[in-house]
Amino acid sequence: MAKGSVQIVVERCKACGFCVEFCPTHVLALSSAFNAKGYHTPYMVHPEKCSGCDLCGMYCPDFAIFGYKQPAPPKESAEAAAPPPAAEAKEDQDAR
Amino acid sequence: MHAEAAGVMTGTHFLDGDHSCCEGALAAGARFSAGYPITPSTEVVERFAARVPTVGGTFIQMEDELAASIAIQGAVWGGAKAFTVTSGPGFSLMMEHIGLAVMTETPCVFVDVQRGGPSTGLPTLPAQADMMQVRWGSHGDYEVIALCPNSPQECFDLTVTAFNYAEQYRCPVFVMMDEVVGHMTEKVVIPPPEQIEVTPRRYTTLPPDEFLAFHPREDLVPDMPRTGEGYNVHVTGLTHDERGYPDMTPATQDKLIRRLQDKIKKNVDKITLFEEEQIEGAEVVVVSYGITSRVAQRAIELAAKEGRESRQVPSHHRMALPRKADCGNRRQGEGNSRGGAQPGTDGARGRTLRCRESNRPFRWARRRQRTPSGRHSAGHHGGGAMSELTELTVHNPVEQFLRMDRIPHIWCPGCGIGTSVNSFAHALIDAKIDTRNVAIVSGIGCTGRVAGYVKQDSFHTTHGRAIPFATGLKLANPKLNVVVYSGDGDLFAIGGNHLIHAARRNVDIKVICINNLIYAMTGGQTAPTTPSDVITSTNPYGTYDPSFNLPYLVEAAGAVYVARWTAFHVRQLARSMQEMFAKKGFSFIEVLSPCPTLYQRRNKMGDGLDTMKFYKEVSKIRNGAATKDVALTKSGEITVGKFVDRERSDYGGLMHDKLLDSLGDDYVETEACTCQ
Ligand SMILES: Cc1ncc(C[n+]2csc(CCOP(=O)(O)OP(=O)(O)O)c2C)c(N)n1
Ligand code: SF4
Ligand code: SF4
Ligand code: SF4
Repeated sequence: MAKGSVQIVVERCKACGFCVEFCPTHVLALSSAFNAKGYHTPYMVHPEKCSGCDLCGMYCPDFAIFGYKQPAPPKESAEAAAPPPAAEAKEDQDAR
Repeated sequence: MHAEAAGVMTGTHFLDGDHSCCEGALAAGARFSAGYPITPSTEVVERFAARVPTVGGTFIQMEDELAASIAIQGAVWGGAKAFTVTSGPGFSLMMEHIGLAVMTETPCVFVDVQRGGPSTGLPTLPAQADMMQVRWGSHGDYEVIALCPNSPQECFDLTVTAFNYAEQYRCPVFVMMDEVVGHMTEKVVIPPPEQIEVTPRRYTTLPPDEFLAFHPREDLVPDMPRTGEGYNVHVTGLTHDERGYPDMTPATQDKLIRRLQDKIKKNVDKITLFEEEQIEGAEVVVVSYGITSRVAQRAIELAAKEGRESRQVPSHHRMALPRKADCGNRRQGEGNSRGGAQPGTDGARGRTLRCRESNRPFRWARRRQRTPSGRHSAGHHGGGAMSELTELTVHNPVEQFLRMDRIPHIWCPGCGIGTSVNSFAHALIDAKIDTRNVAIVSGIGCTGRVAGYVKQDSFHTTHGRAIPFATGLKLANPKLNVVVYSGDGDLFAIGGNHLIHAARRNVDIKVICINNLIYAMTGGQTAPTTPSDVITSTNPYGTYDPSFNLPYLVEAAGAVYVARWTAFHVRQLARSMQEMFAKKGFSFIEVLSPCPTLYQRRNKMGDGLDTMKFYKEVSKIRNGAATKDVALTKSGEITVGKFVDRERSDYGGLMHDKLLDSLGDDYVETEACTCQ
């Protein structure tokens, strides 16, 4: 199980790529989806590698992402592993 | 409330107007003054410098009048009653800070001992040549109050009144003396303290979470917060809403500017001071103010002697500006019944109302609505859509230091300023200091906006003047931890003089300079940091101006702590900032930061990430490097690290030691904000 995870506020992200580039374990990648501003925002392509070091948070100029040490109960990670609900795709279209 | 006994020199004295004015200021509770010498005004602060250490306050000789006129405003926000003193040429330099005091509703007093002009004019001769300037000299529409004494006695009395008006209306108030009044020596009676009425500052009694910094009371004047008490107030010279947040909408501009004017105009009858003599049935009425009123008095007496007694002629000694509220576009000479003979006050209002949303370089970023469901856990989006949120169980630790109600910010994608703010927030966490005492002061520019996003007491001042504001704030309230966060152009071009002098004095302020090698906010012009051979909007064929090596300059000027990092060095930067908090004295960190929009684009240097990778590649950490060797070039090596960390008594300490040594038990130290 990953030691850490990240939270992302997608609407704040401006796709600078700092978090992706400087994550020491290459957890992140920019998604092909857009946020409402039209930016490709990051997602965890290798969630299992995340240490929760928060370097991504230190770099993010838009306060859009941060990393944290995985909380003790494993329930959280189960949720995080769930596939995205289908409804989201629609909402994203609308947002554009 | 009555005057504090310590400042009042009760008795009958033989004083000139300048000295009497100083006694008036002390009696009114002034405990801070910043000045720059100029005849015929200097005696006011010379006396203040001698007297104030014995009643618990500070005088500081600044590097110019721009600095003096904003240092006093820092001191006011630090809790002191404060004033500055000057004459024509200095008054011209102070104009910008009249506007700042009006806009930020900073109660302060300016004394102008007028002399003849234009330019250096008649340094030792009287004139009333600044009366139009006090009314119209700063840009924009505003109302202020000016009082004109005609004798040393009135210099005392009206200086007390000026401080009282400043507190009552929260605006700058002017004591418009002139050379004759300033240098004339006459009997001055200073009453006992219990007979001197002093208006205390009205501080809010609301707790921070209920307090709106610029929400007015019924009299249109807002209560003030105390800096360092957790109000996290934001004070800006930009048009702002009742929270103090910048808002460039026509509605906000209209509401704010009307209120700033109305709080004075609606009280013009209460503010205006005048005396009437024999006005009943007069055929000719002489209206005069200041020293001229005494000449007029004599003329009236002579006229009477020549058998013209039938004309009854009064003399008005004082003039309050502005005049009554209804003066649309009155022609010169059409004074109202109270005796001012000024052109109309309000002709420019149409301009105000027509103001549109403009000057917003990054409009897109501010306009966007934040979707309520924007926050999510990011573990599961392989390129599909994204938005639904998982209930947040952890929080980004930096958010506690940000005004989240102002995010998203205006900075461009890939701008490094926001990254540096993360390091700053981490430094605040790790420094384990009482963060309520941390005040942020910024100048103007993209970096200058930091003050508006950091949730601390924060002051967004004028271009280049963050350091003298910070100096006043720190000296008036030594318990504050004062951080200046500003751009390279702000700190080293327009503010360069202030910076070297603050470093020389070793004022205990921490300066964080975001160096993006350009004037960014104005569109990418050549700055004193721009390296050779780059294209800027004002050097379209390439730069040839030699540039500053900032660490070298700051070390030479006297800083006790000098470091340089880049936006790539987030952790080192945070550690350096933390060290800076532990340091006493003028400390400086240069942070190289990408400006993809206005520096890189013209030079085909890619985006923010490209510059961050460049920093990673070419930076060499050399702690203790000689600063003369760390100059920057367009694409060469970047030396980073901590270059200087030395001990030297700070300004507060030097002042304390000298005054204690000279005055012994008579010395009263400035503890913290003591203003009543
Ligand atoms: C007295 C005055 N002159 C000029 C300006 C216009 N101005 C606003 S920001 C700025 C440059 C800021 O450059 P810098 O300090 O390097 O900050 P940056 O925007 O690059 O972060 C200038 C010249 C002003 N606001 N006030
Ligand atoms: S918390 Fe650390 S490991 Fe996890 S994504 Fe962020 S930078 Fe990478
Ligand atoms: S660093 Fe922040 S703004 Fe940049 S891509 Fe990552 S989340 Fe988006
Ligand atoms: S113009 Fe440059 S310095 Fe200003 S916000 Fe944009 S990237 Fe940052």
